[in-house]
Amino acid sequence: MRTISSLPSPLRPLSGRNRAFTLIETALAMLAIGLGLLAVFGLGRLGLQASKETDHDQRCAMMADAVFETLREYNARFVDEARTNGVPDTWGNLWEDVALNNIQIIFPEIAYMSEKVQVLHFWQKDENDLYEKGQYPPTPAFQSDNISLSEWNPRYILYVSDADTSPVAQAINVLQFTLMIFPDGDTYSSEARIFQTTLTNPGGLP
Amino acid sequence: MNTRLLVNAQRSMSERVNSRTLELPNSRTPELSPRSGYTLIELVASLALFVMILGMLMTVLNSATDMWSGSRGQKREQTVAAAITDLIADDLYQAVSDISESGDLYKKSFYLFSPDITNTKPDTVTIHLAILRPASPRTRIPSDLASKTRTSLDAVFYTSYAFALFRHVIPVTIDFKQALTNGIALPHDFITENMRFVNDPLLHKNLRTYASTTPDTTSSLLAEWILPTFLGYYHDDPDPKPDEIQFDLLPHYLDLSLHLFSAEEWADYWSIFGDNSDTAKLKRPHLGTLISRRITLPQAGGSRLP
Repeated sequence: MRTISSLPSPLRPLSGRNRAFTLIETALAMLAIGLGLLAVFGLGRLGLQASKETDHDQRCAMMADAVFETLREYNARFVDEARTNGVPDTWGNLWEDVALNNIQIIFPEIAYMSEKVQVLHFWQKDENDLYEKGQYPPTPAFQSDNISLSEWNPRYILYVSDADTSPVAQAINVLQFTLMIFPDGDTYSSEARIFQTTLTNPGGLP
Repeated sequence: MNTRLLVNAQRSMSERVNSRTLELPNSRTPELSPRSGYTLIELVASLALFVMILGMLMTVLNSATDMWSGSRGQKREQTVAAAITDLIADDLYQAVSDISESGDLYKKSFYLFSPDITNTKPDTVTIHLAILRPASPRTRIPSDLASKTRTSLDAVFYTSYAFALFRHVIPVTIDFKQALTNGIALPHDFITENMRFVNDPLLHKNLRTYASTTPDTTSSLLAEWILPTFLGYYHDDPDPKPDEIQFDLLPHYLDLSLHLFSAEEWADYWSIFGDNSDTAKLKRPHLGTLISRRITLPQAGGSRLP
């Protein structure tokens, strides 16, 4: 006659390798699970960061495009004015006034940014020096006293980075502008994007 | 007799069942050992841990999937927006204006209108932008083109209907007898004439449902679920009206913004459209993809290269 004790059972008394987990085994298992979880969370964080950087790339490109289009439009005015009055150095002097912030250019409208921010601010040499020493922040592209968290609040540095002179006219006829955009504004958690454009005075007769 | 047999049979069956219960093996019978398996507490604790880990993993996975699909949708919308702004910039770069007749208030060669979205009525076509440009070889020639006429200009329209954006290119038919001065067509009511044709809800409805279109036009649906804004500027205008221009002179630059949505985002956006609560105000800018671009026209020094 077959009895209970004579038959195999999955719940027979444990012995040898079938005993309960030891503390070491449990700790190792927890470590493995913990590492796995950390990897999963790390991947999620990397994904979030990549998504944010792509968003910043897009917004910075839009901002640079709008700023440089505005400068180009002003360049056309200055070329026209230089041709009209015929006075040497007119084009260079007008841009010098812009670079010294004597001629103010309205900040263009850019997606996600608050409206009517300010005028474009061109950086001077002393501002650049102080910035390099970490004593001067980039210019905010937002109203500091009316900041909106639901909008994009970058900072920027815009300056004339190079100039060239026409050997014929003996006057400046090429200017290079550099625009650095700090997409995270006051947190500086994302690297600055740098854009450059060159404006020329073709000169001569139309 | 029958009763006794029945009672015996029942007793016999009962004994047999009892003996089977006692003697036959049963794998479910617990063996009496202190280390025979997991206790209920251990099982419950391990299940709770398992559920917690699974919950965390599902949350991470879910948010990662949402983020992935969101950024994928955003990338798609950015691509569509870039293509549309390029198309508009291409058209604007070729735009021609008619300044041959001054003082004519009703015949304009440039038209721009950007109403407040709250004024957009259903079943109404809004013409945002209308320009004239040299005829493209790709424009369809009208089938009923009369003899001694030619198509040298296209009237290009950007319209919206039911929150979708459309482009229409209509060849302008010019009679050979009509005079040209310095390459400029004298009759410049092409925009006004063709507005009647473009201002047709049925044409847009057909385009949106991919039904057949009118053969003499090159009309196309550019994007659905879109809020476009067109603003044009003249830099010497003392009293600029950037949102509405009907003029013979082309503006110096246009500020264009396109707010594109997926169908799901649009449903969310529309549900809180008129809502002025703080929550709705915070949520609205995060729905859809907003793209802006300043297009400076060639006569104002524009260039398509950033």
